[in-house]
Amino acid sequence: MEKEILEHGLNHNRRKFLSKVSLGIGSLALGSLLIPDLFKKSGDIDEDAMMAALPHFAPKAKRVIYLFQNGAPSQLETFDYKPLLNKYMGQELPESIRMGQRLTGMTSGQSSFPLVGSYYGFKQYGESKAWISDLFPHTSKIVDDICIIKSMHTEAINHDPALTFFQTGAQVGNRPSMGSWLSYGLGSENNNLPSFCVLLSRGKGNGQGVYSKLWTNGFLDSVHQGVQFSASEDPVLYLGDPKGMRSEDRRKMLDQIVALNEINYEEFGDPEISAKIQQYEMAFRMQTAVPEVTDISNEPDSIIKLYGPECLVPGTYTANCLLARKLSENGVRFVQLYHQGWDQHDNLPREIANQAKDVDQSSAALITDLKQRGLLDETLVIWGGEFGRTNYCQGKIQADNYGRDHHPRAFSVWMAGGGVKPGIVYGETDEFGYNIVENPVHIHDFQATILHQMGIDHEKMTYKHLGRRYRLTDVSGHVVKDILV
Amino acid sequence: MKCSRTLVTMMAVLILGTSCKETVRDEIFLTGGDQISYNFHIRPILSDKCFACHGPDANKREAGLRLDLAEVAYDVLKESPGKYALKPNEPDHSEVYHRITTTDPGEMMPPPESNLTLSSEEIDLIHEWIKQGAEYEPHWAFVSPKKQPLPKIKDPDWPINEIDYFTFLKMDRIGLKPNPEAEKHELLKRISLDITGLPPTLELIQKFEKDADPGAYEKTIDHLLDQPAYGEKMAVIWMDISRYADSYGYQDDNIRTQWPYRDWVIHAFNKNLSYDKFITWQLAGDLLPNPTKEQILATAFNRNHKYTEEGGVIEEEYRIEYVLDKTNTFSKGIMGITMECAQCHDHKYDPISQENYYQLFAFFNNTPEKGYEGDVSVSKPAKTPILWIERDDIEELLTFINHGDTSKIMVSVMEELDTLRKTFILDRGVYDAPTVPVNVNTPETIFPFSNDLPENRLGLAKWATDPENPLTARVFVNLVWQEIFGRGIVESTGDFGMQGDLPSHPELLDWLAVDFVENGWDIKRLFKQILTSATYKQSSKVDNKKLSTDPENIYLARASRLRLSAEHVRDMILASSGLLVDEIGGPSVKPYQPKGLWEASTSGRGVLATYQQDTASQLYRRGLYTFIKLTSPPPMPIIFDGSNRDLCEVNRGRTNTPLQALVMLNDPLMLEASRVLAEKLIRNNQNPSEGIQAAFQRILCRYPKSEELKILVTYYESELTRLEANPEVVDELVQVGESPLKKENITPGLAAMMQVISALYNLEETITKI
Amino acid sequence: MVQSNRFNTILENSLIVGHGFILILIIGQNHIVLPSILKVIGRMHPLLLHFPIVLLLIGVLLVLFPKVLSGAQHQDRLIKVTLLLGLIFSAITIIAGLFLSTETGYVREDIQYHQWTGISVFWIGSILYWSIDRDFLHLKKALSISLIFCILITGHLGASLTHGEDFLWSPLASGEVEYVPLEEALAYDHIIKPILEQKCISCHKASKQKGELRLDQPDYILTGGENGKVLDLEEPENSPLLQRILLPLDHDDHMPPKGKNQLTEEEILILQAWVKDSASFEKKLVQFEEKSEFFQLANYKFIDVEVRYNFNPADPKIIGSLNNFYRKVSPIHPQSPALSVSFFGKENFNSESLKELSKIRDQVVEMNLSNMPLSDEDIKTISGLKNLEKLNLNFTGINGTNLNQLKNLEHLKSLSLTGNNLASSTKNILSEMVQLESLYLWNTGFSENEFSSLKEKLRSTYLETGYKDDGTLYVLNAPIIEFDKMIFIDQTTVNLRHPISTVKLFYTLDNTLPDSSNHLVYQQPIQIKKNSTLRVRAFAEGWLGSTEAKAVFFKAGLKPEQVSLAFEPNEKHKGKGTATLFDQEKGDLDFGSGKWLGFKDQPFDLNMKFKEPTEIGTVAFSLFTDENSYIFPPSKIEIWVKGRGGSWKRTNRENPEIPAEAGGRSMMLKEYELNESNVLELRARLQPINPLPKWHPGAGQRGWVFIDEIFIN
Repeated sequence: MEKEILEHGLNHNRRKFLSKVSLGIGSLALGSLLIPDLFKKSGDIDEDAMMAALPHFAPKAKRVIYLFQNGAPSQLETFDYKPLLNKYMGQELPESIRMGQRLTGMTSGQSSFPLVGSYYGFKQYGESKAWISDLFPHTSKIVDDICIIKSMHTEAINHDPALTFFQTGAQVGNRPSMGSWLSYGLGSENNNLPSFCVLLSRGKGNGQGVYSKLWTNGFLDSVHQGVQFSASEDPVLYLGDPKGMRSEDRRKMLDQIVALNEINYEEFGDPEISAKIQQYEMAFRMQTAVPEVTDISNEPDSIIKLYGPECLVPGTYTANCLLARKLSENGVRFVQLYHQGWDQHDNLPREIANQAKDVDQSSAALITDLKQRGLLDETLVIWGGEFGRTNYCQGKIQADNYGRDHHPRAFSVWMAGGGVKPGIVYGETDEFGYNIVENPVHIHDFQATILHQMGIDHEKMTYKHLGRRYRLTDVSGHVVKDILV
Repeated sequence: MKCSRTLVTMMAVLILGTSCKETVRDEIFLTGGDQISYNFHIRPILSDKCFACHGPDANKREAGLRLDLAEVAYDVLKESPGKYALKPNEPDHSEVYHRITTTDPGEMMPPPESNLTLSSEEIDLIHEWIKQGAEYEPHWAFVSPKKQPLPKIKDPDWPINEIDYFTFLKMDRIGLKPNPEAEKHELLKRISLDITGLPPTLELIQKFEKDADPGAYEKTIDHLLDQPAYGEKMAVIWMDISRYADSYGYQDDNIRTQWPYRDWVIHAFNKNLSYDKFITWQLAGDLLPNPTKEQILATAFNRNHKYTEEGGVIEEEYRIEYVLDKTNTFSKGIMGITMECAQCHDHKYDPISQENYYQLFAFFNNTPEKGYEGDVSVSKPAKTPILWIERDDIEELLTFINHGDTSKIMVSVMEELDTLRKTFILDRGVYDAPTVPVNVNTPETIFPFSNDLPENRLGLAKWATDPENPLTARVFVNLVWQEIFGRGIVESTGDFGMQGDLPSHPELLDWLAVDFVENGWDIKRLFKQILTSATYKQSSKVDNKKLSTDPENIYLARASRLRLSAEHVRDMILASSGLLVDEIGGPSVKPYQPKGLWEASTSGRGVLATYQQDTASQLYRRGLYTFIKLTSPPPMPIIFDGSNRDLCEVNRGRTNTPLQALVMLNDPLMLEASRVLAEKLIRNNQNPSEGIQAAFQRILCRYPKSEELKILVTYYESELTRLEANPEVVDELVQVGESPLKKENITPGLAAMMQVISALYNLEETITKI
Repeated sequence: MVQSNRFNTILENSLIVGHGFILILIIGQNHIVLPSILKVIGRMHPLLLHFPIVLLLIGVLLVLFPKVLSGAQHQDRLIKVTLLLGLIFSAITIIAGLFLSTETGYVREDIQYHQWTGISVFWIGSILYWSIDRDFLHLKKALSISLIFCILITGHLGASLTHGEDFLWSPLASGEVEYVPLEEALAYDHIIKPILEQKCISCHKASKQKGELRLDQPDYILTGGENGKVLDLEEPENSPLLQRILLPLDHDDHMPPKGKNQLTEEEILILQAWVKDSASFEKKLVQFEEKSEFFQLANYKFIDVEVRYNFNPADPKIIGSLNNFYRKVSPIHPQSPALSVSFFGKENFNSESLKELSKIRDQVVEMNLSNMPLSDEDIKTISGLKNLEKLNLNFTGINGTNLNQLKNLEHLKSLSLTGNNLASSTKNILSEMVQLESLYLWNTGFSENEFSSLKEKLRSTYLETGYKDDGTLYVLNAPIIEFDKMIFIDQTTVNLRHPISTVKLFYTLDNTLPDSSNHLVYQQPIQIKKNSTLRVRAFAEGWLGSTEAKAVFFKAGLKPEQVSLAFEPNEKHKGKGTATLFDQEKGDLDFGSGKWLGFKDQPFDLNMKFKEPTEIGTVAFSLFTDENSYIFPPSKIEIWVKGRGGSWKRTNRENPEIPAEAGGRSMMLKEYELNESNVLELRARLQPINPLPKWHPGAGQRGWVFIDEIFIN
């Protein structure tokens, strides 16, 4: 019996080993071309075989750009037009509508819940006749390219869990982020760049902070972790050679390192050593590839006007939008932007105006830019926050100054490109903008849909960790077919 | 044997026979054997592919069938009378076998929609098993370990201690011979890294070289175990398990002071507190008869997790969250069994019901802890219940706490409520969906909770450290094994449950566990025991045969070549360059970090909004002390697979990525270290070649081969010529890091030497335990 | 000699035995019951059959063309042995075959022909063997030829058994998968029929009507078979057709029978849906309800049909070899033969790397060359990829004159030329590329009417012309002020920058907003010698003047010997107490950083003593404001001095104006002229605002005053 345990174990482990190599080094250093071959060797119906079949079917989108509006933009001042709220301004929210929705500690103490309508007007745009608030003049110009979903809903009522839920499919815990899943599933398109990049910007309004947990690889291999690009001179951490070290000097040093490592390999014959050599070569290539991509100096003037002059100021949302396009254009699978400052518990009219101004032009510009390069159909762009805001006022209510608390039951996001139907509005909320009355879309449905567009069956892409098979959509999720081309 | 051989031939025939068809059957590696083992062959399959619907989880159970219990599986099927799921010895009358072989989508098991399938090999295993009587066994990890007699082996000269008998047996079985013993210098580097996390000092290297005494090796081990650095090395592991961090996590992520707990852990390891005490104090120090402040401080273990300071959260939601974290950390980190699943529903794979889970949960649910104590504007460095540490505590009792000034320190610790808080099973694990009330208890399937134990955390600690407890000792021994060999005897260190991996050396694991307990849970002894074994002392050379038969080195016919963990990469650089400040304990420090990381992600509130880098000696402390801000952990450790400390971690990955290469090439610390070492060497050595040899010895802990030296010297010379040609570059190169640099030392020679050294730092061998 | 003779006889005898055994088997065929070990032999049939085929063919060829061996010794013996061996093996093979035929999963009818041709091979072969030594040449030839014939037929029939009907010819046929657009697809012809053809028709067709049922024509399907109708249009779900396929595989009536190629789950669903949904033979797919199950399923199936390509996949090895760090070649998805190619990293691009793609000329359908420096020749290479559908040539520096080479790419659907300065002649070339579905021409130098005339020509093509600068003026972003210290000893140097190089930078030092009327133009770095507020704006053609950038500079001043605060600063913002005020370290915009003193409930009230009588010109307070965080300018500022006389005298008093709205975080310098000599003591009092103004969310509460430095000159 001993004997066969061994045999059994051996074969099993050889397989695991191979798959590890292929996933780890495979998806970055050796290039995904190796993955299929290695997987073939690992015969059994494990992650490996499952992964070998990725994408599961013809993908509509090759890349994703996610413009995350951190802090939760109010749907009622952006895309969900509710004139009734202006009509009933100051009147109580009917209990029949609230239906025991739990409240955050910020308003649970509040004795009354006066309805408050949008301070900003709405108009209809495009063929879809979509209602968009006056805060988004540029977005309203591209309305025929985007699909507005007004019926998103979640369970979380606080920022941290809500964000984590959106990015990892679970409110708590340390699970892989959406981008990591895609990097794991599809590998990198351009082997000289990370396949999952993260860009951060601070908004004008009340910031919530973001957490590296949001782009963690969780239990996946750390090559799938989101690489945070910084506004400083080193776009990628530790990328730049020290002063006085030109590329050729670096090359010279690397050659010595290779030579010495090879002597060691001769003696010990451990594949880890040759893998290490690979990684140094890869790093060297990144040192040229990344600056080439992040350099905006030769973007034409029209681009600067299109995005707005802020696109020249590193670390701003606008600059990040432009950078996102460049990274995506160069084959980065998943570009994740986070823009803080949408958490308007008070001062909403003033603050949300600044925020909107901050993102409107460049978000729209990104769509236009991708479109005019013939890239929009293969790039999925997403714009939205972690939940919605209440239709009643938090704090003192005035005609021109009010606040809104967190609201999980209904909020709006938009998507564009990547095989999503352009120029449609999906889902409906009741006339109070409180509950969804048509085509609800849960976070997991939303995630399932994104994976589907990338050619992945969200139920099939799983990873076994500590005895359980995990997936981005946890245990639920349906692809929202109605919004797909 | 016979039956299976015919099986094989038939397979062969089949393969040949069908060879001209397109579909080739996948190879089958069942090479026979008299008995198929439920634990080793069948349960892994059933657990992985069947228990989800036919296992312990009552709610998800299909057709009332459970395959994890013999009596149910043998019984008549509820839904199809006259049929049996399992009919011992009669595969063809066992519905199980029929269902996994049929191609009818209606009957097929696992059902197509589950996306699970059995490989032909698995099917054959099950067939054989049923044929042989479909015998069930209790899960190996839930049976108290027993010492087996040492196996007889072919080469009785090889073993040094008991460990070696077990390992030899296995490698012999798969036809591998042990590697010869490693070189002296390799061994020294190895034990030094394994015990202290630091490379051996030059003095030690020379001393060890000269010492011809056969006992020299053991002497050195004892010497190293006495170094305070040992405690720091061990603390690194324990910080992952106790998810230690210097901030509260969640949105505004303000600072907190749990570091005295870290000082205690270092102290405990150094004075070799026995593991059972070590655990007991951390779980229930406050409940011991008139507890000392030290014992109470230890309970901070259960307060290291994240705390929200986000305005407007619902208090109870988070209080529950905290208790859940405590429960999961205990089960994963100390019991080595993953229970999260049972938080929402009966465990699908292990016999742990939701009730079991909340009974365990109840142990931790009885503290005055609050779910929310106000937002960042009123944030304090500790949360109730708080232990206040006064100056004189430190002078009298808590001497191990490294606290510079006279101020009081506050630490979050555990405390028991006088009136018991009721615990309920929470439907789907949601805080506001309590159902049935439960009392404290532990999963009886693992090990029953005897009635004479107090029904509180102290009772739990006693239960966990009971010599008969099947898990505690195994799990810790396995953890240490993983730390030393890079891979646990059970690979899934955090899951000894049915979904976990099977032990590669079951008898060895049990032997070590029992021996560990018999010798009073003595951790240093355990280390010495392993480090003196012949298994450990093998060289790490590997040939193709070993590589292809055992690529992961599970059968230990060689030593594994392991990259150092993040903290020790840093330590290695600091120590070898002489920059290291070997101060023990104290508050965490903020070394160099790329600009703008905290600033980019912060909400702008709290004292950690901007990164206030430390200066002088604080820049050169060991990796263990690097400040961990949960929402933006230090980049270098993360790049090297360090834990983000979000949750209890028991094993880190060991990846190899280009980002790691970039750190080694460009991190200012690496460059500064190269410069500082270069200065030192130039001072102490006449000619460059000597300097380079010295550097090589400090960094790689051995003499360079002539060819290696040749490469380095040539490199040095070519760099020298380049730099002499453009002196302006010299200044740019050497002006790095805050450690002072004398004007007169700035020479092309210095810069060139610096280049050579940073090349050395970038060798694979440098940050590897060879 | 004798040896080999004995050998021969043994073989001949066993040949006879073989004949006998086979005869018996054929007779008792239907009653054979096999022990499992014999089953094994049966299963070796597909392996064995190769031997007789080869041996017999060789033998026969030798018979037909004796010259081949002319001169070789014992030529006849060689021939005989070959034939003999061949025959022995065919005997064994046939026996095995007969065993195999007893296993379930084989339909007698299918086997019959194969069996008999096989046996006839054996018999004819034997006759040939015995005729060898005799000399009826013609007979031999005739036999030989018919033998060859039989062998071929048997082989083919055998193949069809294992590999399915007309396995032999299918490759030739496969090219004809014609592509039907969704609109024209018919429910039966394009969805149902293909399924039936693959899985049912082999047994239910004109040539072989099992159960007298044919499924190869609608009317036959409606007629049904010996057991009556197969479609029940009243109660569709009871249709035998469905029931049969839904029976468990082991059930005798299950269709397709066990061992036959089974229907996939999806196919079953589709058939079910179709039958339930009227089982129409004419309806177009699009005529079905969008929501109907059948449409959903069929539509899916359909998409599959659509993406199928009619060229063969490239050798994976080749694909692998073509992949490198700068060129990515991958199937558009795993099952597809079609490839997509992308290039990255312009330094590493060269024409060779394009040429190498010739190995996968037929398979490349997508190519992305954006930002690669292309030459005329490269375009030529591209034109060789005849199945190209999508081509991205953005910013490749081509002038387009050689694009005509791409005309012949008839599958080219999408072409992107964005960012290339195209010669206007290209317009004519493009106007002929009618095959294009979309064409991207942003930033190609074409004029509006060139576009419109192109639109004329390419009516069915989507033309993307991208963003046009519509002349709306945008506000420039603020300039960047660079300096090393805010507090300087005697002077400091300040640089101004702006990301757009063409702008003019106007600045002032007197704390007034720079505009066209009052300003200095920035030429070289500014030298600052006294406390001053620098305000800068950028202006440029085609832009609106920028928002301002602002910085405050302080000349380090006198340090009083002794300072004391009447009231401690607030617990949370106590900095390093009074030390903070003269540490010459400027607080930053992060007021939590501990470099600021904050006052709320008590005023900031500072007393400063000097060693000896001092001449004081100005006193300046460096303050911080952020109305959103309740931090306002002081509501009142007062300064007193005490001279030799020893009596206090108030020298300054101001009520700074209260902001009318939140302005965000900013520094503020309040400077006052004193011009007092012989000052021994100085007292400054800054009153936090109370209450906050109406517009503020915290209206009515107390506000804050934040101060970090005092400068006395």
